[in-house]
Amino acid sequence: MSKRSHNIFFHLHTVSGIVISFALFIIFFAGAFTLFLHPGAEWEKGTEHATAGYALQAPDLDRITDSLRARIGTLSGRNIHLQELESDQIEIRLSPSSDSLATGNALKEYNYQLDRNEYKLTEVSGEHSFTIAALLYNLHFYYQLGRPGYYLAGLVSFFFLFAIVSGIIVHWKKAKMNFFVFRPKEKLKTVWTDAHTALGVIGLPFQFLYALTGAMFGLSIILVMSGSMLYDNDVRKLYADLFPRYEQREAGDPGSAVSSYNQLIDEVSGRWTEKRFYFHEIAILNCKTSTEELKVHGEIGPQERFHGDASVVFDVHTGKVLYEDSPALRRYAEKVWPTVYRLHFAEFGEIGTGYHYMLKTVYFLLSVLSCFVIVTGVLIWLEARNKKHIDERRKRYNQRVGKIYLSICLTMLPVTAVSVLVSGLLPADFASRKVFLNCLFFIGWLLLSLIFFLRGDNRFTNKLCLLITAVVGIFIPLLNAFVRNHGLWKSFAAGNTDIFVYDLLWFGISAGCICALYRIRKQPYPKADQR
Amino acid sequence: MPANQKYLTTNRFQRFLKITGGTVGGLILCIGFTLAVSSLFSEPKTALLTFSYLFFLLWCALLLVAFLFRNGWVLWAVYGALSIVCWTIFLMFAP
Repeated sequence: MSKRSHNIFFHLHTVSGIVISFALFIIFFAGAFTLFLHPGAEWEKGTEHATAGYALQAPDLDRITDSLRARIGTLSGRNIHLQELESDQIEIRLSPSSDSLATGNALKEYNYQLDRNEYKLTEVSGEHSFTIAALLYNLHFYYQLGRPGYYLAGLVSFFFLFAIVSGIIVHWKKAKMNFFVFRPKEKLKTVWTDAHTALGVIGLPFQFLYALTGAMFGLSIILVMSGSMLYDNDVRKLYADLFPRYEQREAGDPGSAVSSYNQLIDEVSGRWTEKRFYFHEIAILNCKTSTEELKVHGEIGPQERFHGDASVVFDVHTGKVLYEDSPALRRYAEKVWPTVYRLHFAEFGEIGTGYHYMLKTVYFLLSVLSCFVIVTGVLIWLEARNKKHIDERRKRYNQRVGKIYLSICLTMLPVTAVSVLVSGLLPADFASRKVFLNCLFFIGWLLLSLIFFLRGDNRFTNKLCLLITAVVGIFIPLLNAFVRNHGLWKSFAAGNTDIFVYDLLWFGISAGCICALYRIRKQPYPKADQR
Repeated sequence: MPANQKYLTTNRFQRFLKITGGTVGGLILCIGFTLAVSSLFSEPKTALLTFSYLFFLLWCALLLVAFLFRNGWVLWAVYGALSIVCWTIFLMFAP
């Protein structure tokens, strides 16, 4: 490569990296915790869920509809969705009746939780479900800002892709040559440079995957808008052709034909005979009308295949299949987006220990590593501008930028730890959970980063953030064990995989912080920070 | 270790041309290319889904190449001409 091209690509890598670094750090950080969205949410709500083996059996639908009818009267014209079939606590959502003559309670929406062992129904409210895990999930694509936030995350992903490609071009030769070079005893800047390039190369496939799929999600609007030009500018037509789905029929006349759902469900398990079937979602649509439908969605043998999604829709009255989608029926085109989803959400390669958790742990570590690559990138950028020939004012400005950057990025971890702990301590019927948790997280983050910025000592910021996380992080499993009486060992024995994994995660984070603290306790102040 | 200034574009207007050429020009060309190729098939579905990931790789490449041009006007001329070709094909073959 010519000297000119090298320098141009180098500059592009630097500029695109610096511009997106801050937004990208937040995305990776929030994304790392979003990998554990489900266990996090369950942990914060304090619900006990056993997950061992439940997905393999469908619940007794006849019994459930009977007890729902006993609870709220007629179910005619409603859509009933059953989710969380992987656990022993099923979530049931009932839509209002679509019957035009319906009055009173029939127009109300209901949310229930069903204990699968005793078939006990408990009503739950929507507000109850807000958690820090959900907050971080939304922060992952800036959804606090609405649709524009989503596009912003897409743009950041795209420029991340750009930074990766230019980074590979620039560092390719050095990466081959210096692959095994790591000089932790040298001065800090060398350590950062080595870490940036070496870890950047190790994490490359992972980061490339996220840059590309992230851009596909966030900027899908470009694909949709341009693609619709081939469909008479009709977005709906494009969707109908590209992502064919089953459209629910209109609700028919109320009828009370006696029909057993369980019989149809039994047919499902045997339908795709080769592998075991894992139930994800069951829906009874247009309940007790002449067009009543039973929809079952699940996965065939997640241990053996990548694309196992399968669903089937029955006409309840005739028992006929109205729609079927299974791996055998899908070709390349139908696999593109499911692949993107599975890669991005780390939902593949289950090896039988917990639901995808081995893979998610690897993804989590790689996300943290990516955060590290981003931070070291910025530190290198600052150090490279901390030279004698650069004038004092410029230098001070650069240092301030570095301090702002570090105080905002590094405080994310302790603020998350504290928020999760507080969220776990909130009583279940706490009224304004959503507002409270949002304030706690965002105002806490703002205040803490302000304090660190004003204090103006990067080393102090780093140390205190690690210390707070180490202390608060260890309290998260301890709280679960001693306040709620769901100890690690107990969750494990009872098969509450979600809770167990989340406790273990914070235990690991805390231990990691303690190790880091121990490592940096006696290091001499680097030259750059002495001023 | 910052990049050597002497290889970078210093003229502000030229830089503006290159940045816009790479982002906006690249985007127009990418959309044109996607539509042109997809319209050649009687069923655009498979092509469009393939472009759902190829699109961003292509756009990224065009954005990188844009900065290798010495003159921003030439860049716009090349991307513009290619765009016109693509969009013409699309308009000729579109259903």
